[in-house]
Amino acid sequence: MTDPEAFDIEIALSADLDGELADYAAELGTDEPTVRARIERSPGASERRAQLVTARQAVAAPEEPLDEVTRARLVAGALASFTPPLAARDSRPPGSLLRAAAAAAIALVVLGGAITLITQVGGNDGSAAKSAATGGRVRSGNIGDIGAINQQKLDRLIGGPPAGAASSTTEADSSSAQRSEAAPSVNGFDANATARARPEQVTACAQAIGAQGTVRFNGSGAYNGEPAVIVGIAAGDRTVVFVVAAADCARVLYSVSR
Amino acid sequence: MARRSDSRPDADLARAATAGDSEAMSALLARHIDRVHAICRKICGAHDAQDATQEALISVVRSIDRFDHRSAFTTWLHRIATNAALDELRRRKRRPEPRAPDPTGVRDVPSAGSAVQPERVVDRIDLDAALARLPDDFRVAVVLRDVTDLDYAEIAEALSIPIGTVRSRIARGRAALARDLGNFPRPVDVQGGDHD
Repeated sequence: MTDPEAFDIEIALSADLDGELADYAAELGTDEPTVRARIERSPGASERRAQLVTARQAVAAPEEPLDEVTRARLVAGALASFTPPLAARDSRPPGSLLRAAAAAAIALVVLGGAITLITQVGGNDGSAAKSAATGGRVRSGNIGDIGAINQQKLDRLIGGPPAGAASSTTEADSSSAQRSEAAPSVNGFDANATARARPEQVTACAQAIGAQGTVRFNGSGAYNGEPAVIVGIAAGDRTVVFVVAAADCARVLYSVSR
Repeated sequence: MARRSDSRPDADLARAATAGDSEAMSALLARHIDRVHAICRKICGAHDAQDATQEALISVVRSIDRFDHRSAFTTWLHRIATNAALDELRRRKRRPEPRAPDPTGVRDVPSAGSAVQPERVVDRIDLDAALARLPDDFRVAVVLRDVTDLDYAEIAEALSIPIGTVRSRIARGRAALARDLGNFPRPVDVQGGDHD
């Protein structure tokens, strides 16, 4: 080695584990067998190697996969900011790409919600889902500003809370609704909220999230103190409600489907 | 579990998305969201991982036209996910911490209803705490190597640092993790720092 003092057992062991020992040896001005021999001569090298392997395996251990509703919410939130290039926009009917993006997002949300709903209701005939879908009249048109946005108000917008006992409501809500990290963990997000979205923000977000003919209702309110836009979209027999930040339609604060 | 899928390779989906195909964009995001979340989860912890993941996906959508196809899509994606996670860390440092600081450094614990096995919960807590205690630069290098399986040259490219720095950060970070997770001896001749 050109510089024996530069040898570092920690770096050598780690590089060896990663298949990068030859490059490290080259940096030291020697070859891989020489560095490997130096490693073997180092006291406690085999024990250190085993501990590094354990640490590496711990970091590499797979994460729990995201649940379907969270996955759908995050993908939908990103797709809401999808803007096709001008050339693509010019070659298609106006709004078709936004509709496609929204349709993809909706499909994911509905699929995720439905799958999770069925899974969490747990092997029955899906009565909670059925009762939720037929529980009441879904609002339509401009709903105006509903003030502080909370679970009860959203329930009323999409036909009231699921029919039946409180337990079925809890099941349905926990399966089909997804709160952001900022939301409180209990129903009712912020009763004291006063912030309001501007009408043009409501229009912009409704256009970004939905498309003509698919938006059932839109409105505004305050979510956790933040001006928010509410957009309800028809998706087959279900209604998907997005609560998004008025200042950034791509930021989905909350979503629920029923 | 049924899930939308598209068998086209990443590069084809990226080209289609760049041309305005929202279905391709959706497929690309759905395919890689768990990978992005894993990176964010290990760099900035469970509490902020979803926010970082959201920002990373939005970044992918908004900058897909800047992906030049010279490297693998996943290499580009890893860089975006890493930057989103680091941005989230910076945001967290700027905002007031509403919760009492946890002396163990543990930022989140699986819920009681989680199906995770008890021994895995312990492992998870240990690992989260150990990762949280690492300097950000070390943690990012270790995560990029061990979670995404990038080689040192790819990590150097993703982080815009020399390969020698990558090598030393991984070694230092991994050794610190080993000490935290077990009884790895503290080396007498090394106290951290980069070797370029």
